[in-house]
Amino acid sequence: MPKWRNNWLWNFIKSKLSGEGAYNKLYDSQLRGIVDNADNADTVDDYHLADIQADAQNRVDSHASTNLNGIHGVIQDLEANMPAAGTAGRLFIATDTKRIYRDNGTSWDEIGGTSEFPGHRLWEKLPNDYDAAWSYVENLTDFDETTYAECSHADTNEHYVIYDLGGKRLVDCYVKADISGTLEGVTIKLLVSDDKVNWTELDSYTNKSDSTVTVELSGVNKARYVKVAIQAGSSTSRTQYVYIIRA
Amino acid sequence: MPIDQSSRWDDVGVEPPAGAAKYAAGEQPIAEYDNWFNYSVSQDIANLNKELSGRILNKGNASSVTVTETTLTQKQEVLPDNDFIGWIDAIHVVASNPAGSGATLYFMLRAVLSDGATEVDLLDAEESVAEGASFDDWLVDVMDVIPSNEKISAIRLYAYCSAAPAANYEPTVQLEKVVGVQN
Repeated sequence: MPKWRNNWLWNFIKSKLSGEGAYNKLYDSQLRGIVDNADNADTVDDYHLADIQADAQNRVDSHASTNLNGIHGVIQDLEANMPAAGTAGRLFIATDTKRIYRDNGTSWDEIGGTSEFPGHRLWEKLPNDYDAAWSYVENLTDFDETTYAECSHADTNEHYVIYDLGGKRLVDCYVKADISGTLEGVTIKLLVSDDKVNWTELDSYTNKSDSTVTVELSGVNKARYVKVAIQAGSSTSRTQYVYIIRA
Repeated sequence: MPIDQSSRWDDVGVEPPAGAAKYAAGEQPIAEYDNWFNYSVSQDIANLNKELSGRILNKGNASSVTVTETTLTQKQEVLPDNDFIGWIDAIHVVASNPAGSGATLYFMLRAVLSDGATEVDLLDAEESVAEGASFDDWLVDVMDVIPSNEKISAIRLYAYCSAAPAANYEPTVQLEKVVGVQN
């Protein structure tokens, strides 16, 4: 049957544009040309821009709830610029700290992301346990290989620092330390455990000389707990320096 | 594309009466009849040539006309330059019904078939143009409603008003262009 070309084309375009009401009017305006209304600069084809924006927001919310599992939008900025929470479903990506947060409606929940040092997040509030021989343990997990923790002792006991990673996971551990020993030696060990009772040694090194050597220990395993232990073979007073532990 | 015709005959002759366009054995030819036959054949070839060639139809009415009638009335038409329109690609109609007319404008497009009398509506229904509105569109898929093996001898635009329009506010219509192929 004969049909009017312009009218048919226009109906075809409109049929391809989803939505109704103000949204459709928005397309109408865009495609037909926005008509200025001298009496009200905020009016487009008799629809206020505020109405159009509200309608668009409703559609975004509806789309988010039905198709995006409630994710309403993603913001990326420096962590210091994180906006106040209050719109549940938003995601915030911190471009500097590489962390990801979700707005729960009242606060931001950290849900993922990582620093430039993989595993850093697992370690930063640790260690969970260490004995009196250790000091400056915060330097172990600062990812700065120029700062160190000290392990000073004058006995033959094993002096430890233990990290609880919160659950069993695959860990690729690395330890860097300066140790010096005597003829009986000073041994540094890297161990892992699932129960904090039974330990598996990943790596160790014994220095029997007075000269300080830089030691790197490493190993891969599945474990919840990671332990670094230093034990001297004699009671000679020594201070060992451990620069970093990470996974 | 037309064929360059080389045949011609310069004397139109006299058409023989029914039953006389023939020879009998030994009979002398009649010059008038021979002339008529030769001339007619060359003309028939010319007409065949014209019939078989397709030429562009691209014409319409340069200006609009007012509509004051209250019954459907032919307002404009487009005729082929020769005999028929063989194909229509699109028909452009422009209409305007100024505010103040006090009437609704209605129009209809029709095709006149080869018998010169039968008209076919090209629209499902009369198109209406409300007071204060205008219309400017191209009708396509026109040939859908033309019967098979037919030809079009004219396109006509009919129009009327729902009531007599106010003076100086008369609606206007224009069959601006018909584009197609004619023979």
